[in-house]
Amino acid sequence: MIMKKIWAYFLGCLTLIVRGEKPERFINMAFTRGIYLWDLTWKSPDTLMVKVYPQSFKTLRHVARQSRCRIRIHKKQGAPFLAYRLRRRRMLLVGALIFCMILYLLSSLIWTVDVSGTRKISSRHVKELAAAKGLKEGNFSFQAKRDEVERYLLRELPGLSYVEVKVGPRSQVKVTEKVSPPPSSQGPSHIVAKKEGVIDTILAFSGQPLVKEGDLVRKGQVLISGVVKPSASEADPKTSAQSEKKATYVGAQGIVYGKFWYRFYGEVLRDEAVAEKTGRKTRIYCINVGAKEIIIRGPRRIPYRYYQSETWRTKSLRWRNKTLPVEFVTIEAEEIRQVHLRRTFEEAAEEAAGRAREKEAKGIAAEAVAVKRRYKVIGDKNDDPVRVILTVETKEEIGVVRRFKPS
Amino acid sequence: MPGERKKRMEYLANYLELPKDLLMNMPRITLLGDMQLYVENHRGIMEYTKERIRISTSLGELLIAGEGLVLRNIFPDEIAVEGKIKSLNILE
Repeated sequence: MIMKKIWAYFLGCLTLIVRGEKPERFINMAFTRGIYLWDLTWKSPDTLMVKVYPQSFKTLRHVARQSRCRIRIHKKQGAPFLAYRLRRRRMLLVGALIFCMILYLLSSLIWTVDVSGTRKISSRHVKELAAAKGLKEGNFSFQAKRDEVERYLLRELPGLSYVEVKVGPRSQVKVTEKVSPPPSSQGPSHIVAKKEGVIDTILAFSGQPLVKEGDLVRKGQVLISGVVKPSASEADPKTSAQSEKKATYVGAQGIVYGKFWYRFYGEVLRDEAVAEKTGRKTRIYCINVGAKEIIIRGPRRIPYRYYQSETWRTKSLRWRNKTLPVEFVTIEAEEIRQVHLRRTFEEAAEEAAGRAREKEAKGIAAEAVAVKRRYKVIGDKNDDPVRVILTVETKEEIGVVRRFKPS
Repeated sequence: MPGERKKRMEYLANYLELPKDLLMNMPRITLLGDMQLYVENHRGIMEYTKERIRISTSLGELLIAGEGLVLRNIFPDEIAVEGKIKSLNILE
């Protein structure tokens, strides 16, 4: 069935209207002459619709005359008629071709080049180097060979370990920089405290530890010394005087953790008016043309009494410092309700502790590990606001390498 | 087909187990539910309206009555009828 339809499309298909006394005669004569008819339907008691291939139309006229029927073409369908119509309207075809060409050209242009992953190397530098190999805005994407650009970038920038280039209308250059190992401690060095604190643990790989666990150290104090003196026990009593002078100098290595304490303060009123979202929100989409505002979707103005709104604007094309005076604006408004909260002492203390914790999250360094937290409520139960002090004990790396000149 | 020859052919067909429609030039009529009818070995259309189709065959006349009958295909050896078929008569 589907094959027949495909054939009918390629060969074309004529729908004829047959009128006459004896259409049966017409049908019989047609198929005895080898003309293929299909989909014979009566449209009204005296009009019969027949479908035939256009190649058999000439013979069919003959048949019609002999069977005393009149035939008329009702509809022409299929590829041959389409081709004929297109041949007469050649510019339509040309336009379609031009459209395809423009689409192809514009989509093979490089519109933007994004560089990501750079840390020390400036992304502009990477962009310039890529542009030297053809990967720049305004070029065609076939002017930039992906492998070539990648190889060129890796050769020109020895600080890169990996480059991935994607060439397209939105080209991307993904870069991974080499992470060089920390400068090896060449020459003698100490490990000193970077800030004031109490030593938690100390583990010396090389060098002489000068402090014990629990010691209070000042900033800059030597923790592990690079000056290693032979200890008294292993030194021979005879040579002790000499070995005293023969101190060796090493690059001190080790891990030193310090204990630190931080304090954070949080307070909460017992009675408070709080803005709470009701969960209802609307969005307004509009286009600003010059000073005119055209709302595409959403209400004319925000239908809430109290609300929080956020606005996004997308500027259209920008060229030099000229912009089209058209922008697309999305406004989202969320309704807000004023709620009076009346907290019990426990709730308030909980809340205040939570606020102190929030401050803590911002206040201490990311690598610091909190070991212990203590909450303390200041004042008595009837105080308003309820105030809480949070004391956090953390464990942090305290040592830094500092070189010295052996004297 | 004369009676004598017809009997002989039928006997031959039975004996050799051959399809009878080939040997005896009989119409093969296939009815699919009440919506599709195929007639092979026909001899032409005698009448065609929406409610009635008469097809000439070697047996005689095949009368199809129904509603909204459509001749889907007409080949020299096969006719396909579609529509709601209500009755099928063979008139000698």
